[in-house]
Amino acid sequence: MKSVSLTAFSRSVVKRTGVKKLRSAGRVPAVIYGGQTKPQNLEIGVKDLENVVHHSASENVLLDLAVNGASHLALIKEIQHNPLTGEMLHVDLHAVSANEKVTISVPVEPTGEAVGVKTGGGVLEHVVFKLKIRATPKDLPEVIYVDVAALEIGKSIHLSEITLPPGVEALGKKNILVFTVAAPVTEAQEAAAEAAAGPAEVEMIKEKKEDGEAAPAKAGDKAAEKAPAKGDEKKPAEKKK
Amino acid sequence: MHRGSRAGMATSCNTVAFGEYGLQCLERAWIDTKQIEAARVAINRFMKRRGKVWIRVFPQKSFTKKPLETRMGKGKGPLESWVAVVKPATVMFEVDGVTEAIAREAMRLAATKLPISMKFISRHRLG
Repeated sequence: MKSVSLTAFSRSVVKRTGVKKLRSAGRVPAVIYGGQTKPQNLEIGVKDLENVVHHSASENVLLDLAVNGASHLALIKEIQHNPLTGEMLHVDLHAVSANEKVTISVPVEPTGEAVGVKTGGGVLEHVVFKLKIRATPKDLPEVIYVDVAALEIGKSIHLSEITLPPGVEALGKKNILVFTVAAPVTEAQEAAAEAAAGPAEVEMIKEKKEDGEAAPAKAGDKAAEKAPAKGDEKKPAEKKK
Repeated sequence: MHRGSRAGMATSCNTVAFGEYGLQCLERAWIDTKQIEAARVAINRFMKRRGKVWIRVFPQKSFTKKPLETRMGKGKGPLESWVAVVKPATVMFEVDGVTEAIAREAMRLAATKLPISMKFISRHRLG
């Protein structure tokens, strides 16, 4: 992974109000930690950061960070976004050494159209979206591309079958399913699924009135309600007398 | 009855997690079973058995209502329906295995069945 140069400034504001003002001024709050450096609060120009992220294939970017004259090699560990607008809220930077191996999660993307999808009408299922890998910063790939062109219906690609770039080691179980081609859904299967997925009728607890009783009750609702009440009131009064 | 709080934005279920494209809420509402089902049917009819659909919300909240022309009192009303509480940023539906144009149209049709404004989003939205 090639490093991209970016300028950051040290940040003194840490509270919510200050950080909000910072964002409205076109800066993104950031923090750098890891390696030999002490954790340091930073601020980065939002335009510069967006420019870097939008020109890379994923959010895994190796930065050559210049902070007040000092230079750091850092990986973007996490970018917090506003879930609605996508606006960048905060950036975590991981200071790394050029020769030390680091562990990151890299997105996996399929290339080509699977035979099972093209001719058989199947559906390519993308099961794992990110792979945990370990490598030195210069060997880290931005994205791992997997050729799925030869996949037929019912066939799968597991982690052990993925060819990684030299110097990159995949972590985790090797039998993890990454891509598979599922058989197309037939009309009968869809009908059965719809019948099963349809909302079960909500059991309504309502007072059921028989046809014969319902009509007079409606006509003389007030009378019907008041009549027993009056009777009840009178009875204790009579007893008092 | 306690109607709960719908304040704030969705803190979970707010990203595309399973598929490639999603339908995100921009407002808060109670979405009832009929609306969810109508939206699901609209997506499936347009996609014609291609691709895969995920429904990310479930109507787990019940609400009651007094019958019409009934006087107050006499206890709690009967169960009316079940709803899913959605807040801004909730991803309600996801699809995969279809082109963006098909997914966009399917989601547009689903959004017409819902009482709130929605937004089409993609997994690859960066920044």
